[in-house]
Amino acid sequence: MKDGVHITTIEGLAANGALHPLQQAFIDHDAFQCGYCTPGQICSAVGLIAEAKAKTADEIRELMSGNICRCGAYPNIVAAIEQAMAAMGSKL
Amino acid sequence: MINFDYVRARDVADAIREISAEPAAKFIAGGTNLIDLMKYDVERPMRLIDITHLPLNNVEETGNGGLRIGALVPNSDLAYHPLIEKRYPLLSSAILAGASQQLRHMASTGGNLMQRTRCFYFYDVATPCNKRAPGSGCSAINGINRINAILGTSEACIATHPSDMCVALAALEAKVHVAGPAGERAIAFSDFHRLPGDTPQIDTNLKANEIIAAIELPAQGFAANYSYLKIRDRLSYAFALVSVAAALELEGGRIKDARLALGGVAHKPWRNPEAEAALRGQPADSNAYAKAAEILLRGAKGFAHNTFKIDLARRAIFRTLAQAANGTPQIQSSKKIR
Repeated sequence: MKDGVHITTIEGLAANGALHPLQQAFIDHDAFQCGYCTPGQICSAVGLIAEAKAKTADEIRELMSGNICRCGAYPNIVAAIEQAMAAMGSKL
Repeated sequence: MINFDYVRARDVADAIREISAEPAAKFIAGGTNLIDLMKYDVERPMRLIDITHLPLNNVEETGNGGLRIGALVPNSDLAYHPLIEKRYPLLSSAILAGASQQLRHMASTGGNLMQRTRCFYFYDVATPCNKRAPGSGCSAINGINRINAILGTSEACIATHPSDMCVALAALEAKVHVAGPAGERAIAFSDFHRLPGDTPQIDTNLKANEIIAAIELPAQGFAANYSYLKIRDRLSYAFALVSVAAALELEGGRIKDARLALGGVAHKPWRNPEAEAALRGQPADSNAYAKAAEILLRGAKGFAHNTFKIDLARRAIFRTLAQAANGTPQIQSSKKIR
């Protein structure tokens, strides 16, 4: 069904040894505890920034709601996404 | 999960040929419900017919002021389509109230109509369920039925249709264009999904050899006065306990035309033309809203855990009509109900 489609996973985000701004933001904001959900959170957030539909923190929360974090790191995840949006030149 | 064959349909005629040739086959588009059901062993298709490459992914003007939406348009593309946002914001809002962004990206317009109930017992193959195994009984009627239906139920089934998008399509009086061996036919949206009766295994009036080609929206989109209000246990990424789509056309403070549909309460989006007729010609005020709610909920019947839905629906109808009349539609990213 998706034969031939280009897919980026968490392993494909860092470039030339430098972390993707979202990976750095997750570290800066301590946006994870156990780390189990982190690759999904980061990949979804990359998609969210690329789609540019989220303009407010409420909209980030709504559009990230498909990613569940059992440790409850949500406030830090939102803060990390806000930082990465600013770093990537996307206005919040 | 069982082994199955996979085939990619070349065009619509090929898809119809494939589905006609193998009654135990299923179409697959986004797969957001079917794959889950296969993993749970609820659906056991012998053959999957991949329809993702059919040319059904456009949104086009119909020539009489409406839009024709191809069955494969992803839910998120539809919600954010400029013509939908501008002319049918009720539909956009309802879509964005459902599932999560990832699911909306994958899920197709036609698939949204064809998704199956989320009744716990339908998913639990260790329990009786007339929808999954006809004649085995209904576990929900005397079971945990908090999420189940209060309207149009039968002794065989109290499942709900889980879609948000379909509630808006019902209110907008969309048409479903389906293609079969004899060509295309149109089904009024309110006739597409069925009540359970004594055949709850049949969700829709789509025939076994037909495929959904498109959804047609009429010209009237109620873009000025509408609201979609969804009440659920979790603020996002949860199915509706009750949802309401309200659309009004106002003229000098009076209601000229009205549409009202409920989600999460029945086997199909729940409408009653009498409730809408009761709103027409009335001032947009609490008396009119209360009357409409009373009519729409006529015959509502609760079970052990879901009787609360009747009052919840009454209040949600009232609130949604007020939001529509005031031009303050519910914003799906804000959890504050205005």
